[in-house]
Amino acid sequence: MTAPLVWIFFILLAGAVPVAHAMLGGTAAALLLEGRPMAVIAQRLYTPTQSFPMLAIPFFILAGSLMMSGRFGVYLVNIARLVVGHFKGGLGQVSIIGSVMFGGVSGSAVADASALGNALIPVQKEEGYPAGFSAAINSASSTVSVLIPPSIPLILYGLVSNVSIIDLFVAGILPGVMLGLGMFGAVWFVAYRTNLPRSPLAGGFRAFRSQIWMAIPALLMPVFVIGTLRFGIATPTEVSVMAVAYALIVSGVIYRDLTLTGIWRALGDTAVMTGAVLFIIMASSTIQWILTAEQVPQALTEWVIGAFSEPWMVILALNLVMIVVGAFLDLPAAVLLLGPLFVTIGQAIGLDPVQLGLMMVVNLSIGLYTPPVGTTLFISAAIAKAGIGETMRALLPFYLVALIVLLLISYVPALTIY
Amino acid sequence: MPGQDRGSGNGGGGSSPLIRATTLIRTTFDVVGRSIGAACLIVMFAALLANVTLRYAFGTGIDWAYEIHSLLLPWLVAGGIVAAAARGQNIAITLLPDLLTPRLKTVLGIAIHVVIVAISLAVLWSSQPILRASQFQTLSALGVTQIWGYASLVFAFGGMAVISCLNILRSFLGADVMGLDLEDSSFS
Amino acid sequence: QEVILAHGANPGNPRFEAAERWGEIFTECMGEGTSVNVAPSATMGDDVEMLTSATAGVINVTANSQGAMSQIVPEIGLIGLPFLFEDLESAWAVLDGEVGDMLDERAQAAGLKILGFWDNGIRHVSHMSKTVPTPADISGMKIRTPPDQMTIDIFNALGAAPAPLAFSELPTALQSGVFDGQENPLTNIYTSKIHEITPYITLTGHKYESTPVVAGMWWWSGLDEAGQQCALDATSQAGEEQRQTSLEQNQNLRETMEGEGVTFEEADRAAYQEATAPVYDTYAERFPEVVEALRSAAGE
Ligand code: NA
Ligand code: NA
Repeated sequence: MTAPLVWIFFILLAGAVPVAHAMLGGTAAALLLEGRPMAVIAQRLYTPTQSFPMLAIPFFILAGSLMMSGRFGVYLVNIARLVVGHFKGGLGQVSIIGSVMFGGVSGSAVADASALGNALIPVQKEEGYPAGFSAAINSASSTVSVLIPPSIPLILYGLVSNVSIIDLFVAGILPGVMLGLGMFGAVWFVAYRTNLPRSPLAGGFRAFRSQIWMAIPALLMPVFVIGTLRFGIATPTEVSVMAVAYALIVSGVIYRDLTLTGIWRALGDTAVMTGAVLFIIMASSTIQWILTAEQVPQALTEWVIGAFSEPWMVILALNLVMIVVGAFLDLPAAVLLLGPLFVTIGQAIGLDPVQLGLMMVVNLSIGLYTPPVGTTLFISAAIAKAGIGETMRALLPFYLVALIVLLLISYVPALTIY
Repeated sequence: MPGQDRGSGNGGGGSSPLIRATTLIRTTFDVVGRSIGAACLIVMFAALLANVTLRYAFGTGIDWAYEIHSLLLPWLVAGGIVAAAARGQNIAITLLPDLLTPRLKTVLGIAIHVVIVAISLAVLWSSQPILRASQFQTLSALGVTQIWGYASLVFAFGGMAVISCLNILRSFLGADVMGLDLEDSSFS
Repeated sequence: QEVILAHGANPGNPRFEAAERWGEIFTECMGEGTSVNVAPSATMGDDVEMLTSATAGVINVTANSQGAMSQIVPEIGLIGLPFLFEDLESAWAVLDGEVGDMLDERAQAAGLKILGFWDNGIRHVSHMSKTVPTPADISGMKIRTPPDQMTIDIFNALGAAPAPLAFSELPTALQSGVFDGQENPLTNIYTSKIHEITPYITLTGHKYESTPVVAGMWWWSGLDEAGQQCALDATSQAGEEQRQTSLEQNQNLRETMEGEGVTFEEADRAAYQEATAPVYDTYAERFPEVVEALRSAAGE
């Protein structure tokens, strides 16, 4: 049964055992009690490291690390300030804009959370933002990137559900923008109430003019990445590699602040960050094996179909299941696990598979900033050096926004099917 | 976390030779882990960039460019995991230690590292059939057997077990225990 | 006992249905006390990982892929020699015969028992803007291939420009125009909507692919004779049905895709065979025995 897995996992987690070890402990206990082969653990730990799309994570982390180590980061922040700095909580709005722009090209929320978080969270904290609020903005807004194309989870959903990936990409844009706007509102609301500073660039455009030439490469960065993807030079993983090359060229040739020490430090930090994040993804893949072996998803499906008579109730039930599963499983893993089953349920109640796909990705991306296993949450909290508790409190308005968007997508087909 | 350098300096200058030795071993794990990770990143970066350039400019590609990650991504991750462990930077939820007295905190710290050692050894022990099976699998373009990739698990979990043992030893010697040093080493 | 049968196919794929059938037939044949847990959609890992799992005792049986399997038994890749089989039926006849036994013998040495071969279809070329009925048409074509040496050799011999890419990246890469086209069985083309991007399909049938159904030796050798027979029967019976579905689906898919505006054309098989002859010479040097056996069996 999966009960010992859940209990032991939570006990170890509460005892401050590292998350990945707690998962492995739960899996090991479940395997022993069921008399299943322990070799599952090594096998499943290895699985995520064999995924080519997974490579985008370290390379986007590296690109962010390289760019932000020099003056590049300062210029990028200056531009965003010039645009939205005059709002209350202007630097928070810069995070949202950054997520839509930057994130809109990466396909991976985790990569965004680390690239943007490293650039913006330290500056926000200098301006007096509570660490928890900074972490909250970053962990929630970075999930916009899995809705605006390209998106690794949407590609995965397309593959498991036989839905056109182009349709999914097109359908993702509107929900992504809705989520971005909603979060913009959330930041504005919090900033207004807690009186966070406006952060206009000192001297405005006039003072910035002398720097404008130096800022052009920073402005071109998202254009470069979008262009590379949309106009056919490379796939998302390769774009992550090219982003590294771009960062090297810009800081080496234009800013001339690239040093061997800086490169070495960026490489080492990327390795540590990749290790810490992938270890959790790897450990959750062992849990996924047990859920599959115990046929938990199937049992869940049968129960859902049997228990609810009305389509709207089934949709609500699917959403509730995903909220729970998303809290524990990584987004791609949850899409792979639930996708095939939910498509069957969706067909039974006449739910459009494109709409279902967007519903799944919007829902499961909330799990990225929901404990016990929230990758963008952990990354952001780590960068901000914020506690999980204070970050979660600061996340409340963002949960609200995400839930409203989720409800709209779940019950208004016109938002995803044109 | 990035930009933080706390590999050395822990354990204090005037401490016993045994504590200094554990600090040295831990620092070595940190440097080795980061070096392995950095080397893997550089090789994969070069291969993929060369491949995409070749494909765009000449319509050709390097056939192993899409296979190299199945060998090097596991090693990048293993290097990172070991370095993170050496720095006490594994992601954990540390609500409980916050509530404890320093003395109980040390006891909990020892318990956590005992759990980590036990789990790491269980993974190592149970990975044997997988390691044997992987000897039969040859990566088609590289011509290397998969055991070279799976060996990264041995490094990762062996490294974590050794580091946790060192930390247990350190707390009996009265030095700091990594992973509970909340100010700058924990993720939560 | 609980038997885990894992595979990478999704609902709607003939392999998915066949795996379900395997479970039914095997359970019934073994009687009380045996259950089969069919794990679809790569939930137990991708093809390569499932093979490791089967060898190591994590799962019992996997309906796998020729490409992954040839990482363990390189000779299995030879089933994909260019233009080897006239049609699906002749491919099946060869695999069910002596050649199949030969491959099984080599697999057993690596800890895997081949229970039989299901179908994975024959591969065809799809292009963004034209059909490629002759080798001259395909020359210079930028074509995505799996990271599979045989496929790369075939398209190099044809003067095309093959470049390997992960399947998960393929739709994005095609849309962005990095490639002129790709090659896959019709089922894959249709279910991944690749025909929406590359609506010109040439029925080259350049490479046959099977779905080897393999069991871990640890489990196989622990079965009594009756149990082994049950496993073999379940594999061949489910496989027979799966092959029929494949045949029908191939026919239906062509019509369906034509309905969606896809252009089909037959390829000049003789010309293609001639152009890819050097590939045989390369592989005959490395695996003389099996290449010879395959050639003579396919020629019959
Ligand atoms: Na995106
Ligand atoms: Na979560």
